[in-house]
Amino acid sequence: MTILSSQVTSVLPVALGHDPTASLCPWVQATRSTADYPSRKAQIAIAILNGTLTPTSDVVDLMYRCDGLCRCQPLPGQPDPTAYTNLIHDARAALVSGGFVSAAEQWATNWREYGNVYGRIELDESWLDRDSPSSAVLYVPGTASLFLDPAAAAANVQLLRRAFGSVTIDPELLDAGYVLRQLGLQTEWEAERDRVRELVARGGYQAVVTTTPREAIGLATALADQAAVVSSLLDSVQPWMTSMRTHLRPPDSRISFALQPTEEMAVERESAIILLEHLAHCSGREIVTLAPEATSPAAIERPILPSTEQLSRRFAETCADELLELHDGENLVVLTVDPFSKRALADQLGARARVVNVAAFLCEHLEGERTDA
Amino acid sequence: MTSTAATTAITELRRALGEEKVSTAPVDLIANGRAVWPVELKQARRAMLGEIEFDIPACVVRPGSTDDVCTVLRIADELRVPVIPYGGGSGIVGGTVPPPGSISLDTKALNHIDVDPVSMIARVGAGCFGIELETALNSQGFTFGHYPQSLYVSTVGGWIATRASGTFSTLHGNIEDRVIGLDVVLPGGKLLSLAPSPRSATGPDLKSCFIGSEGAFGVITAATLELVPTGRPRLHQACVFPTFQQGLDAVQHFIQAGARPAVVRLYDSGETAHKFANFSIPAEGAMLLLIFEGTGTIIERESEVVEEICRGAGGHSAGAGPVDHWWQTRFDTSSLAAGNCGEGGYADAIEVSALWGDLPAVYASMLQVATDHGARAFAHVSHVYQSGACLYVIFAGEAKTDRDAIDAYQAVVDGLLASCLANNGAVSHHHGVGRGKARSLAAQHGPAGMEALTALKQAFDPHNIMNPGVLGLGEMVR
Ligand SMILES: Cc1cc2nc3c(=O)[nH]c(=O)nc-3n(C[C@H](O)[C@H](O)[C@H](O)COP(=O)(O)OP(=O)(O)OC[C@H]3O[C@@H](n4cnc5c(N)ncnc54)[C@H](O)[C@@H]3O)c2cc1C
Ligand code: SF4
Repeated sequence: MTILSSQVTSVLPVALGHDPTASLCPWVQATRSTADYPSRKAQIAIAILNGTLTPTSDVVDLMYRCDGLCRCQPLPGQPDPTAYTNLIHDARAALVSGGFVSAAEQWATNWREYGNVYGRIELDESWLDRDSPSSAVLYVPGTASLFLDPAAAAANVQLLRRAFGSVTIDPELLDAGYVLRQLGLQTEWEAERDRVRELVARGGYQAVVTTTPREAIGLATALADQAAVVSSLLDSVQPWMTSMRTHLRPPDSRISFALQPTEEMAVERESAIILLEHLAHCSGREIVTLAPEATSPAAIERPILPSTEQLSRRFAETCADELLELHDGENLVVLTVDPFSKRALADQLGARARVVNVAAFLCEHLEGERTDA
Repeated sequence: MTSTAATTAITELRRALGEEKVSTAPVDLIANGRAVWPVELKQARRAMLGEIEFDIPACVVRPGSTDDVCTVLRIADELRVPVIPYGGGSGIVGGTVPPPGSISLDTKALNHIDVDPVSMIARVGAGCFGIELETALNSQGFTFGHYPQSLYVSTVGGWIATRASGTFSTLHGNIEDRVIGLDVVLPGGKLLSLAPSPRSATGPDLKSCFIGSEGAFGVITAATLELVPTGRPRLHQACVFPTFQQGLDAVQHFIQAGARPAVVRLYDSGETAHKFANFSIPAEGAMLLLIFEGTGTIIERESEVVEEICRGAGGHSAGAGPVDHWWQTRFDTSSLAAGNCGEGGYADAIEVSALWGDLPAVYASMLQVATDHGARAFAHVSHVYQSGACLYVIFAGEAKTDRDAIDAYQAVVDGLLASCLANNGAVSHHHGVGRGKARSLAAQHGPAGMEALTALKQAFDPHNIMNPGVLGLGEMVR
């Protein structure tokens, strides 16, 4: 009898299950390939961890064709999505430590040299100043935001400062490092996790805010036994937004919200719905939609592997088509918090719609100053 | 192991279709090497753990058009390489098990959808997932009304090839009632295009040869389907009977009286206790779920008539709650999946059909067989007709090892189907035959029936390249 680790046992129902939602996986939609089914990815991951499959290049590619956003898990009776993404991350870690991921060395070098996996980031130092070193709220923008969309990162800070009065940005902690875990750089992730824990504990923060929900989940794992409450940008400002709703200026275009889709991010979904309701209310007409079919742009794998970059583009293309089908010919603004989504969607939509960072949009449409604490 | 013929086929296919449509990457071979037949799941489990090699085809081909499919079947036929059509891979009877050296022809890139709102039909690519079809139709005010539990992972071509049924079949019919046109590529590469028509008297209906053909005669590349307007009012109603038999009597009565609820599901006491534990049902109680769909006043009256008949048979109303509960959990397959996950565990659902007069005996004998084999079993009736119904038997058991589980599983299935046949039942209502039920099919049809089926196979596929082994035709694979 083969003894299986409890972690593998918990995902066997995915690997040997009926794939009741396979077609919801964005990669299945993009590739039309059975290999992209969640069951097949889980099956390959288990075989990698058991050492029963030679990690050829297609095996490595497949393991990186999963963004862990778990669109495949929305039905009742599905195994725990966290266990599933952990399995994929563990398989990646095994591939990296076995030397099968050619890009891993470069990611690790980038991390060591620049503090991020993407490369040199030109920081706009002007918004980095610690305007209030004693602030109870720490913002961890994430190097993805800084790298891909520094203007959006700046808008995020501006919004947080309006919401909380002051917010700390620690130049030593611009990224929580969860991307290391996602990419399979396990050693680097473990070291980074310890460092992050120490920095947050030392700062004595009450709240830590990340840009995306996925980063919040990663950070929450690292800070599991600490008092600081971790939340994503949109969730963190939601109560304040509600108090400010009478100050919202109605947008003059139709608004669609491209969310990161996953059960785990249900809270952010709530916040987005509330925000859209405020917008609808202040406009007095039906101008906003939470476009569930357009949520997928956020589910784009970090475009750092050539194979995934190509697929990411195809995927964004499909999402853009869906959006245009819903709102063709309208003056459309698509809101997103995710820098990858923003870039990919903007590329696809071109002049046909404006893709805007949520914080930038809110800063533009919120009149007056903060009304409550 | 890849044969010389398969190696040549791969080279020729790549030349004709382009490299990207012909994959020999291990992840693709492993993925298309199985579907969800419990034997395949046990084998996959063993392979994941390194006990055996994965079952794999020689290559996976992903045609993007009917022309591509013609090319594949021309080359395969010339070189006598087996071709296994692969849709969603949700088949649970071993219909896509790849013989060594075969081509797995994956249809999922054939996914176009063109709606004709005037005639209320859609022309759909065979590889379109059910949910993709529904989403596209819903946005134009239509539905296909065919909702199998595998809606998110099965394809239109797979539905047709297996003669599938959806949960709303009592009103909307089964797949064979809804397909009015079909494109099929035959071995050799010839396209047989059966143009859509509402009905015709132009000799035998050739479509019937392919509806339920399980890929043994050709590859379905597109179908024309009849649509229904979406958004029609629905009414949920449940009823509890003191016994399963009383429930059966009621269902037979209201169906024969002409009532046509869209959904009719009657659970025996075992499955009622399992599925509706939160509804405090008496020990022997049998739950009946009904969904009526149509025009408001008509379904209200229809439900009143049905309720009256149910009351007459000893049932009492349980409100809408149990139906709502089923609706919310209808895609949940976790208990079946759990049954196949552990070492030595096996679980499956076998769906048979029988006339009303035979159904009680089929039910009693099948449950007895499962018990005799040491397996746990319960059942429900769904998909009901004037003359009888489908009986869906869910069973699970344990053996010592996965290897033993395969034998134990096959012994239970053979026993269940033999008892069904002995009581005049049909060995499949909607999952098809595949390789798993092939032996029982021969017993069902008898020598003359199998000769007729073999003659059809010979006519369409003289070189026996199409999915050899399914329907008991050609060489058995497992
Ligand atoms: C969780 C679950 C629930 C299910 N619920 C239902 C249900 O409610 N009703 C029901 O009827 N079935 C159900 N099934 C069984 C299965 O979904 C059906 O048999 C379905 O029709 C198979 O479609 P597929 O696209 O997955 O086909 P596959 O599994 O890929 O193939 C099935 C068979 O059809 C052949 N085939 C596939 N596509 C083509 C084609 N284009 N041309 C020629 N041959 C082809 C294959 O060679 C094979 O023999 C369920 C299965 C699962 C796993
Ligand atoms: S987590 Fe996302 S990418 Fe991964 S299998 Fe599920 S749906 Fe696909």
